[in-house]
Amino acid sequence: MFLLIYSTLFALTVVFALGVLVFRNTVKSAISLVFTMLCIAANYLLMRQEFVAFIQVIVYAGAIMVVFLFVIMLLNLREPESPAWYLRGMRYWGGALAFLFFFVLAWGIQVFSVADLTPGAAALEELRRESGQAEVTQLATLMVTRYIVPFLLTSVLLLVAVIGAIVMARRKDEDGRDITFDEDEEGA
Amino acid sequence: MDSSLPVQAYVPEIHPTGLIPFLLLLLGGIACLVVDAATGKEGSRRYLPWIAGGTLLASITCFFLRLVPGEVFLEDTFRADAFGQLASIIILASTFVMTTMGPSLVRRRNLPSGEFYTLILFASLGMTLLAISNELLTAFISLEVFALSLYVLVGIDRRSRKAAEACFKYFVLGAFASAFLVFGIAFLYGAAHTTFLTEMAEVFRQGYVESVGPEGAVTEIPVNTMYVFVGFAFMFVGICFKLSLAPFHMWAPDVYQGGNMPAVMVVATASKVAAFAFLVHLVEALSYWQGFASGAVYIVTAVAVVSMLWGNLAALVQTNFRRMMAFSSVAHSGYMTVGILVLVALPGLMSGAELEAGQLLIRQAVILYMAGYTVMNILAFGVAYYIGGGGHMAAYRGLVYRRPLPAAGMAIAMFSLVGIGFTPPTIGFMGKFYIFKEAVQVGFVGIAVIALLASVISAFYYLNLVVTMFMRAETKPAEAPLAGTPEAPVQVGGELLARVVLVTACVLIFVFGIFPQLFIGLGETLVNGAVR
Amino acid sequence: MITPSNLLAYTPIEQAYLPVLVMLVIALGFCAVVLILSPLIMKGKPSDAKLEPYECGIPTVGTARIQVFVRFYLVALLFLLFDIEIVYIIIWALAMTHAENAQVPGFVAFSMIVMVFYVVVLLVGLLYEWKKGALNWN
Repeated sequence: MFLLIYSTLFALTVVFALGVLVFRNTVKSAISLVFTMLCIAANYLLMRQEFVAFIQVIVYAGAIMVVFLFVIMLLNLREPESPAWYLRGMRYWGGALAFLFFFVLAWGIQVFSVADLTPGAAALEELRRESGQAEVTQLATLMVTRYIVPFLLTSVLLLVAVIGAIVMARRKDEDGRDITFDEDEEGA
Repeated sequence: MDSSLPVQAYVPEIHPTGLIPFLLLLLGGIACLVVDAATGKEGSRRYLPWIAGGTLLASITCFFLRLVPGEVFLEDTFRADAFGQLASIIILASTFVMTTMGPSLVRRRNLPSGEFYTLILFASLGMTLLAISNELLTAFISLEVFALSLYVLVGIDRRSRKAAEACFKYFVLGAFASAFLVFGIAFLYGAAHTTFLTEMAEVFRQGYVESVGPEGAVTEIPVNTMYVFVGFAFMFVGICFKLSLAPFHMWAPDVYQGGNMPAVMVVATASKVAAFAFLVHLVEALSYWQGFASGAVYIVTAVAVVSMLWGNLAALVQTNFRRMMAFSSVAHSGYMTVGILVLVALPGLMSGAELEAGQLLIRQAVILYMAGYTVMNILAFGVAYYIGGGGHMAAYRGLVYRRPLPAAGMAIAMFSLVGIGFTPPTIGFMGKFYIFKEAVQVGFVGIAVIALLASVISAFYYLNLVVTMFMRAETKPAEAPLAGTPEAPVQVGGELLARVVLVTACVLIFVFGIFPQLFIGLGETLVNGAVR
Repeated sequence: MITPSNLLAYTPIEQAYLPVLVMLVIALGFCAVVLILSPLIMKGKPSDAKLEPYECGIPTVGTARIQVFVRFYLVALLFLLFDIEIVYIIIWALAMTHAENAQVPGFVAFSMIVMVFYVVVLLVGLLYEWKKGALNWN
C-alpha cells in the first residue's frame, strides 16, 4: 500500500516536471510547475518533514510562482520562436546530458546519504519516536518558547519590508507630482 | 546544546523592564506611521521629529535609569553587559542626531516624513538589539531589520540619481553578505549544537557537546574544528561587509557619496558600532575553542592590515570629501579590528581571572574607540551637511573666513581623526592609544607598528582638508550654488538644536579625550558596578 | 589548523553538514575552473552567434530595457511578505494547539499575547499600505 502511494507520487512528480518542459504554452508550463511543487511537498510529508512541506506549498507554490507569473506577464506571452539553426540539435544532447546528470545524482545520493545508518542519527530518530512528537511540533514549540524573540522580530522585519517596498516604488512625491530625476551630482 | 526530547512547552521568563527601551523604539516607529497617516504632509513634518527624537531620548534614558539588566536576560537571548549597553547608547545618540537633521532634509528634498522617521526608529531598534544579542538568529534578524531600513533611508530621495545608485549597490551587496552570514551561522550551529553565544562559549571551553540519547545515555561529541572555522570565516565575511572592512568595502565610497548625508552618517557610525559590538561578543565566545586562535589570527590580521593600509592610501587620492570619509572609515574599522585580534589571541595566553580581566580591558578599549569614532564622524558629517555643497572640496576652500565656527568644528574632527602624535587631548588619540597598547602587550608589535604607520599616512589627507579650509578663495566663491538647488547651504539659523548637537560633539571629543575613564566608568555604573 | 586528518574525523551526527560543505567546495571550484580554463583554451574566433548576448538559448528579441508598470512589482512583493507571515502563524498555531503544550499552565494565554503582538505589528503594515493607496490599482 505504502509502496503504491510512494510510486504513484513519484510518477506524478516526474510527469508534471516533464510537463513544464514539454508544453509550448507558457501558462500551461507554469501550471504544471505548480503541480510539480505540490507533489514535492507531498513527498516531504511522506518523509515526515512537515515543516519543509508547509514551506514548499506556501513559499514555492505560492510566492515563487507569483514571481514566475510576474515574469510571464512582463514578457507578454509571445508566440514561441523557433530556435536558431545552431541550437536545433541541442534538445537531444541536452536530454542525454540531463539523463547522465540524473544518474550521477542518484549515485551520489546512494553513496553519501548514510544518515540513517549512523549511530547519532539513529539515536535521534529513536528519541523522536519515543517522544511521540512530530518534528514540526518540536520546532513550533521551540519557536514560541526559547526562540520567542527572533519569532517576534520577524514581524518587525516584515513591516520594514512593506514600508521599504512602498517607499521605493512610489511614483508621486509628497505634493502628488510625478517623481523625476534631478540633474544633481550627489545626494543631499 | 541539544534540547532533550520531547520538547517541553513553558512560559518564557520575560524581563519586562529590560525590554522597555526596545519596545519604546517599536511603538515610536508605529506611532510615527499612525500620526503621519492622521495629520497629512504639513502636520507630520511638524510633529514627527519631536516624536522620533523624543522616543530616542526616552530610550537612552531607560538605559541610564538602569532598567536593562547587566547580564543575560529573556531566555538568554540578550546579553546587555556594560559593553553592549554603551554600544546601544552610542547607536541611539547617533540616530538621534539624524532626527535633528531630519526636518531640513525632508523639507529640502520633499521626502515622505512618515516613512523617514519610522525607518530611523526601526533601524535603531535593529541596531541596539544586534549590539546586545546573545543568540545568532536574533542577531541575524535584527541585522536584517536595520539593514533593510538603512537601504531604504539611503535611497529615500527618489529624485537623486546618485542616491538610487547608492541604494541599489548597498542593497545588492548587503543581501549577498547576509547570505554569507546565514551560512556561517548554520555551520557554527553544526559545531556547537546551540545558537546561544554563552552556551557556545561553554561548549568550546569543554571541547565537546553532550548529546542525550535514548534512555538518558549521554554521548560526548567532540567539537569539529573545521565547522568552527567555516562558520567563523563566513560570519566574519558577512560582518566585514557591514563594517566596510577591506576587501569587502567596495560599496562604501559609492554609498557615502550618493546617499543623503544624515543617512550616510548613521551608516558610517551606528551601523558599524552595532556590527562591531556583535562581532566582539561572537569572537569572545569562539575564542575559547583551543584551536581557534591558530587559524583565526591569520584571517583577522589580514583583514585588519589590508583595511588600515588600503583605506588610508585610497583616501589620499580622493578629491571628494564623502569618498575620502568612506575610505577613512575603512581604515578606522581596521584599527578597531586590531582589538578583535587581541580578543582572538587572549585565551591562548592566559586563563581564569586574568583572562576575564584582559577581555574586560580590550572591550573597554574597543568601546572607547567606537564612541570616539562615532563622535568624530557625527561632527564631520554634521558640519559637512550644514555648510552644504555636497562632497566637493571646493565647498571647504576658505571656509574659515566665511563660517569660522563650522570650520573650527571640522578642524577639531579632523585632528581627532588623525589621532596620533600632536593630538593627545582628543578622544581619537585615546581610543587608538588603548587599542594599540593592548595589541603591544599581547605581542602584536608588528601590527601596532603598521597601525601607527597607517595613522601617519592618514594625517596627510585629514590635515589637507584643514589646510584647504584656510586657503583664500581664488576668485569668487565657486562653492556658493544658487539658493534652492540641492547643493545650497542649509539654513542653520533656525535650528538651534543642530548647533547644540555639534557643539556637544566638539566638547565630548575633548572631555572623553582627557578623561577616558569617565566614559568607561559610565558603562560599569550602568550595570550596577558589576564588572562584566 | 585544518588538516586532512581532522577533515575526515567528523563525528556521525555532524554528517548532516558534510554534504553542504562538499556542495560549497564544488560550487566554488566549478566557478573557479570555468573562469580560469575558458580564457586558456579558447581560440578567440568571434562570430555573430558567439557575440550575441546569451539569454536562454533562443535568439534574443527586442531590448532588455523595457518599462515595467511598478504596480505589478508592488503587488507581487506585498503578496510575498504576507505569504511569509502565514508560515509563522501556522507554526504558532501548531505550538498552541498541541495537546501537551495546552496543558502547561499559562502557555495558551502567553502564546495568544504573542500572536496579538505579531498580528498588530503586521496590521499596522496593512493599514499603512491601504492608506498609501498601494492596494489601489488606479
